[in-house]
Amino acid sequence: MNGPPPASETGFDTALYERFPTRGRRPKGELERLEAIWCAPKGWQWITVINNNYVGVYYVGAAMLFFVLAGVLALLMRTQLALPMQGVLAQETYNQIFTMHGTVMMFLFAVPAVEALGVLLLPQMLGARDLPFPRLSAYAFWAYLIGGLAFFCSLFFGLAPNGGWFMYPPLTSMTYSPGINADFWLLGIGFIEISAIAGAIEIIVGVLKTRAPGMTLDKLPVFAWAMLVFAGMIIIAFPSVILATTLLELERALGWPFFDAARGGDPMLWQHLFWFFGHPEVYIIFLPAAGAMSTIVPAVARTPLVGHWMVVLAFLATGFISFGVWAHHMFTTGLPGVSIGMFSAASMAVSLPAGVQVFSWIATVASGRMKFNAPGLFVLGSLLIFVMGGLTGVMAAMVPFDWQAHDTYFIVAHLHYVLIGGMVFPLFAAIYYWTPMVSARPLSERLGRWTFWLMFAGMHLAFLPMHLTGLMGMPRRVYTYAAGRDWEWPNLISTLGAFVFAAGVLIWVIDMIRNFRPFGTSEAGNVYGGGGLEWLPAGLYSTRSIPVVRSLYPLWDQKNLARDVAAGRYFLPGAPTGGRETLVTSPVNAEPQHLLRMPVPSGWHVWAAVFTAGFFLLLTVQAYAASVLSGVLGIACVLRWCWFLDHPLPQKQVDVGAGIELKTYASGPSSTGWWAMVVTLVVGGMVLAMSVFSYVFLWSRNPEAWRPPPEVSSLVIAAVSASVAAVLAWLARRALNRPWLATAMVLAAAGLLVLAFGVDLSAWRGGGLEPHASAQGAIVYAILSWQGFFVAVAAIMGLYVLLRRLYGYVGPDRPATIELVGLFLGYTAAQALVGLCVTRLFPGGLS
Amino acid sequence: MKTWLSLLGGLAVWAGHFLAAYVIASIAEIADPQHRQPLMMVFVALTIACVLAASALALRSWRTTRQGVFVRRLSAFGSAVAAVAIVWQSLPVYWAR
Amino acid sequence: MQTDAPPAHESLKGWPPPALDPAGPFAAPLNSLTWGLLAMTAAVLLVVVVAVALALFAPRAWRRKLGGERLVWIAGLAFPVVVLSALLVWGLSLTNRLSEPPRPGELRIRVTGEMWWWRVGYLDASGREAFQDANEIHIPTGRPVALELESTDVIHSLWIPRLNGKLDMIPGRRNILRIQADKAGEYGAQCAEFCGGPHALMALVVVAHAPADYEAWKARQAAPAAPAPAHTAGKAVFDRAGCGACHAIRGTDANGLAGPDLTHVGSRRTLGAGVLPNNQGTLAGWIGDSQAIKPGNRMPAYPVLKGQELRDLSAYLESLK
Repeated sequence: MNGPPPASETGFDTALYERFPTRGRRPKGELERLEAIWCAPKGWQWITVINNNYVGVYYVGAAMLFFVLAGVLALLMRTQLALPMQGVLAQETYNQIFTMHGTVMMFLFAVPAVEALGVLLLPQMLGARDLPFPRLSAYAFWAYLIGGLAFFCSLFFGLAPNGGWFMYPPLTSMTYSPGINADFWLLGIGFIEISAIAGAIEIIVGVLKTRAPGMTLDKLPVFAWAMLVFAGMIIIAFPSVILATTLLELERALGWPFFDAARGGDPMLWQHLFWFFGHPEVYIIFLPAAGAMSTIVPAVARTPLVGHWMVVLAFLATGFISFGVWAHHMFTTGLPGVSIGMFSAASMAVSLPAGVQVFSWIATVASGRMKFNAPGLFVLGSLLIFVMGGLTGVMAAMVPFDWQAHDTYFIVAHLHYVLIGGMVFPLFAAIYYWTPMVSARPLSERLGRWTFWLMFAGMHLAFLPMHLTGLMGMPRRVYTYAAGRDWEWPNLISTLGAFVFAAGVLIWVIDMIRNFRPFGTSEAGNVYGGGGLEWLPAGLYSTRSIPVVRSLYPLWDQKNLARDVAAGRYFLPGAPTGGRETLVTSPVNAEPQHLLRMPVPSGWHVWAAVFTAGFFLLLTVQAYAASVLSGVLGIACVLRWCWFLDHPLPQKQVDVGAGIELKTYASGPSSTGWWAMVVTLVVGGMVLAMSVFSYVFLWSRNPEAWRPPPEVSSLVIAAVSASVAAVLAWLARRALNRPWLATAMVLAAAGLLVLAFGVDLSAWRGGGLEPHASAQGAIVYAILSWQGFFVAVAAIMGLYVLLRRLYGYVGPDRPATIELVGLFLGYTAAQALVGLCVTRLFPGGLS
Repeated sequence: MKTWLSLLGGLAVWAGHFLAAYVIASIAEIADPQHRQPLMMVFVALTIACVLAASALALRSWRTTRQGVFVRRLSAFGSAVAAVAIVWQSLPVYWAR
Repeated sequence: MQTDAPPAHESLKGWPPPALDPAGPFAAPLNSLTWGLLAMTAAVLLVVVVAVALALFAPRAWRRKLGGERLVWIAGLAFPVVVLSALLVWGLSLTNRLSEPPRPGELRIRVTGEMWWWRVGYLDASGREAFQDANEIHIPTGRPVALELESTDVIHSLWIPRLNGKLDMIPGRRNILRIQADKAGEYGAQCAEFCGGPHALMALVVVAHAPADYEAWKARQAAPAAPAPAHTAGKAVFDRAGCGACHAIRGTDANGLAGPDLTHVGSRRTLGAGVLPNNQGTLAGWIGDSQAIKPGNRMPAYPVLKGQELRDLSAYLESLK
């Protein structure tokens, strides 16, 4: 695997790595200063804390709380179904509970849990002091916790959604779901998507830009690879469900008929949009878990991962192929044969990367000597369960079989095998494996074995019979069933199994209460003998110094690494700028690029999360004025938090160890902010792409009902304004030597975008197209609304730049703000042009 | 950037081909039956082009000297897999009615 | 009239599993495919379990052979590619064969999913609806029948596991599901797509008759309701309570369209879309308080009707054979 050294990526001379470990004593008081800078929170600071050592633990804890809550819902359902025609739960209650079980497990447990694992582990694994935007991940956590709890509580008021976790319209339309239950789903989930995307941006930039020097792609820990692909998939997949929930909410609140067949919409559009997100979602939660498996298996087998490069390729391939399988949830909707065949083929192909990973784990086990400790057991159990789920998945990918199995308990069994084997068991393995990293005591091996065997047995007892119940004709999502249909026994066994499984989880909870001691000064340490950087001795500042990585398993292969790191003999042994900081490295070869000064705790992100949650929740209960107020306050908090950013330090360059000098300010592609903005704009672009898909889809359903667009003159004015805005946005970055000119250019660009939007909007209104009258009206105004949202943000950014100029914060020494605003404005202009071209020129052209 | 392009290029070609196949299949569904034949020709041409592109990427990534073994292996094999997957993925289009 | 068919509740039995108990040429290949897939699943699972066992417990020399990239290449890549390619060919050819469009002149029945029952319209040769029935589909044996699946409210899905796989009923679209029963008998069916409230209680039964019996049945159903001089009291309750606002009885003034057509309700096997067997007692109970039997269904309870009125009304309706 170690070929000739690749060429330098940034011009950094990698020979400088040979200066490490350094010799000689570190200056007195250096460690104490580092500790003081990264001090533990006191009092209220427990809430405003942003260090990933804290936020990561909170995050995992919250996810596990939702796991337990949704599990309790499952027990209620199994109790109702234990016997035929029972009245434990009323019909409506049951329908709410099964909807909440699926929704909470998918959106409030699975995705946040793996994201939380990333927040907790990645900085340590990558040798960073923290993630690049610690305040953003803290915001994501608080938004998720507040929103998630409020969403869950809707159950206690009988207001929980009841349309199933994929919320198919027209059942979820205003006509058939008049209550605010469905709005809770749409707004609650819409909100949690924001949190997930914020986390994904954090993870992408973190993995690409904050690795320890020398951690080239072949030495990047396999978990980090998995998280990178995972986060990339979130960026591509989640916009689709954001759009879907927005459209459905628009239909419900304003009567815009996207999914209403009677007015030219099509309920199938929802299914396409939802599953374009929904199936990748399964891999989104599987990949990090698989990454954890590929980390834990080598550790418990005490040997490097066999076929490491194939596993990484499997991640990448999964990331791509999983976007070609969405329609396999729609095999029974009467899709045309060609599409069905394509999606069937892709659905089978996506099992190949999984096969590669499974056999890579088996080969690793064979080449080492497996220990049957708690993580080892969970890893083996996961492997078996996941393979069984994968095989029934191949069955369901066969279209004719799916015609029988679809929407029956066979699928319920299949998806639980995949998700429990592919995500829950690996997560438990991960919890047992990594607890010693954050807790003063490891979890109990004895209780761990009990937990494992109860969960393993309960899992099979609960879900194996469901394959049969499905073939016996039992559809999913039934709140009861008639006696005398022979479904009694398998259902009773399933209920028993569910409680056995729950007993296992209960023992784990007891174990956590007894042994989990985080946030202390001591940690149990490398109990299982892992080889990654996360097992280096660490404090709240992560490792004392940031090592040069020379192996995929540095702790196994680099002699005295722990000792030298703890003695400060590597990069950044102190805090040269006197604040929190970490190294920013290049995305391929991890060559040091600059020093990133990190934020310190403050309450603004917590308030921003509170007000964001308030905005969505108040919107749900139709308190519109309060909602808008909350939204404005939320934006104000975010702006206040941004205000602290982009201030150059007095020290332009500092020594980061061994006499290597790095800059303390960066902009452009070497900076983390630039990457974050680009990734954010990819999210916006994906929403736009899915809107264009929706536009064409709705048109194809009803081409004769499509009206011609308004007159061409408005198109020309809007297009020219947007183009000029793009040019100005680009020029502003280059005019920073004259700060007022640059500010004026930004303001002018924002103004032109407002103009372009206004011209387009009034032309459509003048043309008589009504959003609630036809599918064309609905989708055109939806695209306009999306553009309007961006234009509003652009306007706020313009005013923000103006304010910064008034304070003297715009100038050639700090180009980042103008540059990022310019990127956003440029994107908004491009989006305006795409929207104009699609809505005006398709399908009629200029005629 | 080049590294990422070579790592993801082959798979991106696969994704592009899949998307195009979906679009063509959807158009064929609503188009006149007489237009089906030319659409199929477009699809065949596209498939051949994509297979060639992915293979070329595979060869190029294998031969390059600018990258380490890991990236070369990943890129080359990824693109080769993509080429095979494109063929596999287009079978149903020819086959289905 | 139903001499060749077992009683209603028999048709909904879960054993033998209906998905593995095909009764016609559309379901039979699905059954073979299912068994083939189950065999494949078992075989692959065995391979994995053996591989894991060897990796854990085999002697060192064996494990050394397993513990390399070769295992990943062979078992993780080559082997699945072969298996999946074979399956893909099988699956696609079967999909093609089973998605053939109906032949011209094939018998057509329009089944409309409603919240939470089934409207069944029998189409004549010109494609017009000859008469309507509810919650049962009657077909002749030995020839394919095309079901036109539609919905006017939410998405439903018709699943008759012994005759074919399921197909969704989507507002604004029409899907064609072809079924064929080789033997006379009853075949249980179920709504498979969650459609809100009492989705669990939305069943249906397909009744297959020998061709001659089918024609006779059809002739009876197409006729309007015969006058019922013995049941004038029940008819009066029907009119007084306003039943005709939602239900139609051809040959009378009742012409409501919201609920099931009751012209021959007495000849049906079940009530409430497969919830109850059909007899005078259950019918009276259903009319009196259907909300207790099938909570959330669209028919209001009628506590205003006294015992005698319910008896008269149900006797009248049961007489509509």
